[in-house]
Amino acid sequence: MPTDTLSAPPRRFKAGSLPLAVTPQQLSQIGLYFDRFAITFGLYKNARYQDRIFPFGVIPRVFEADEFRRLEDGLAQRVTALNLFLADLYGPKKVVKDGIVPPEFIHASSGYLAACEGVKPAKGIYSHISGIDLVQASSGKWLVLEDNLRVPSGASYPLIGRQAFQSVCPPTFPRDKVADNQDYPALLLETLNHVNTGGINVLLSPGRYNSAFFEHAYLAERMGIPLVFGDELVCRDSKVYYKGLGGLLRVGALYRRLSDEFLDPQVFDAESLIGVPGLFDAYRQGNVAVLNALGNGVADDKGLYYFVPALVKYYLGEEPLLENAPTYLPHYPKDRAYVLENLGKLVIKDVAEAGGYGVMFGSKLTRDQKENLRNLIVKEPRRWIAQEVVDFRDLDVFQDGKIVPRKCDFRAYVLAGESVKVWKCGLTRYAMEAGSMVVNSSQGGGFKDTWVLQ
Amino acid sequence: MSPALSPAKADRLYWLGRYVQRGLGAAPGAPDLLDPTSPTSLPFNLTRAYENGFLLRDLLDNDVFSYLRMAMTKTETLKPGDYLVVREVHDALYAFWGILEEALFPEAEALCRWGRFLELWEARTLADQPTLAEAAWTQLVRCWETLGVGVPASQSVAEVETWFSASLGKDFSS
Repeated sequence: MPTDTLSAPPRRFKAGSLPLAVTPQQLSQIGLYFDRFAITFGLYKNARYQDRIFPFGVIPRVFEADEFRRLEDGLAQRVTALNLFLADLYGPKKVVKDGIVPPEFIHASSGYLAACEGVKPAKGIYSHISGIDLVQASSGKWLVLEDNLRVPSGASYPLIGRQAFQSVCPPTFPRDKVADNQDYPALLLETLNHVNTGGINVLLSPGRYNSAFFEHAYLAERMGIPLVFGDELVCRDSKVYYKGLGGLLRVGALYRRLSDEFLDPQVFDAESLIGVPGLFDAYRQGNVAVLNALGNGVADDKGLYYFVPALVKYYLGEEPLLENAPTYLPHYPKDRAYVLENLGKLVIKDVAEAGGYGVMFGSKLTRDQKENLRNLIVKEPRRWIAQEVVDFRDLDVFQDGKIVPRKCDFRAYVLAGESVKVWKCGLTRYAMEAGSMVVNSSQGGGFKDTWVLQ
Repeated sequence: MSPALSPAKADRLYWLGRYVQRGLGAAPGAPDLLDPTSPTSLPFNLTRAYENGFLLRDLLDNDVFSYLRMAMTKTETLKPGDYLVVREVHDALYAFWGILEEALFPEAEALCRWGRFLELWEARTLADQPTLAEAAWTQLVRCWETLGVGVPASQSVAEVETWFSASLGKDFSS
């Protein structure tokens, strides 16, 4: 190591209200930490899987205690309403009968599962682990961009990112000022135990080539529960069992990290080799808790998102504490006219897509592309939503040896067990290119830790 | 037997142990040392050890896994004649064995060591080193005692290999 690097003065930066000083040597060592422990978020490029070290922006997002408390209240309110909506939707459907949500937004949603009609999950909870994506507009206001109620990923990264920072820069980390985030595995386990129907807890992963496999293994390790693949489970007499070496072990709660359609080839995609035949029957009969419940996709559909503030009012009789980004539904003629007229300044999203796919910025489309999109919107209005482009805030990120501003969003994790709890941390994702708003990990974005001051 | 282990996990632990040990057995001066297609080379064995380890990350914990990663990363940068780096690969693999005891619960550790000492026992038996082979056999017996699986009927290489499959190959789906 050259002596000038070793003796270089610390880089000073401000993380929220916290002044921090980290030496250039420490900053580069954090990258080595990620490589040493193979902290990956895999990418598919040209249909080929690549293990990729998840870029870590080092400088944390910092929330003042009051600011995060306000968000916490809004997040808990939103997730409570969404859970009530799912229970209603797969049950009496009052929300449709009362005209709050048009029926086509239910039945046309790819996330709606007719098989789940009348099925009551353990303790009546549908979305146990919710990932709510927010952005902070340049005005400072927080807006919800998306609800993820199926298999939201990402919590493990700030969990291990915090360890990396504390290991590499122990004197810099203000231990007494920042809420400890290492409680996430315990909160998750508490949630699994709450709904467990009798038996062991397991984490079901689709396999080694899933982008978030690191997360699956890491969360299983931290919770002390087996990480399993579909062929290590078997169903007998409408119950799920883990094929342990000493014999079959009943599974009481299954934290699944694969999509609904692959869970049970007997009911959903018959070609799925990563699911468990008979799982749905065991779930339907209440013999196993599945986290998150099946059929949740209907509630985090981009089209349904439009109605969430109305759902909060409808189920809880309260004003929503969190706002959506201004959104238009081409399904409604008035909105459609506005969208077709203003395509160039809106962001258009295909409701069937996720992970940053199917998102188009009108300003970046050619004339032909715009025309093509207009035709598609007219032909299938239900398939699209349009949003005003929110100029969300830049935060400092350490990238390629420099501190640079990048657009960042924030995914909050809300756990619904005996009570609804918001994890005092979250995943701050950033775009790799200056000015870009594409922060999705599956699109090559990076992440930062999130410090909540106490 | 711990509830956390399925036959599939047990198999991976066993093979993890075997491939790591084979990596340690790769001779620095051998012409095929860096040939990924040769079953006695470093890349051949460490790629397989790493893949088993990757799938076992929930059991291995990050520290144990990091030594596999280190050995693998160094192997990827190896050039012919880099004998000191081969030594560093071996250091990482010895560190892997050293930390295993602290990180794994006894049955999982015994499965991994089963693979390790089977490799050693076979190699020493074939090299006609009876005293060293006997020492490896004693370690194997300790692994089997931890697992409560008994002891194979004879000390023939073929029999011990078959016996592993029979011990863990129970299919609970049938």
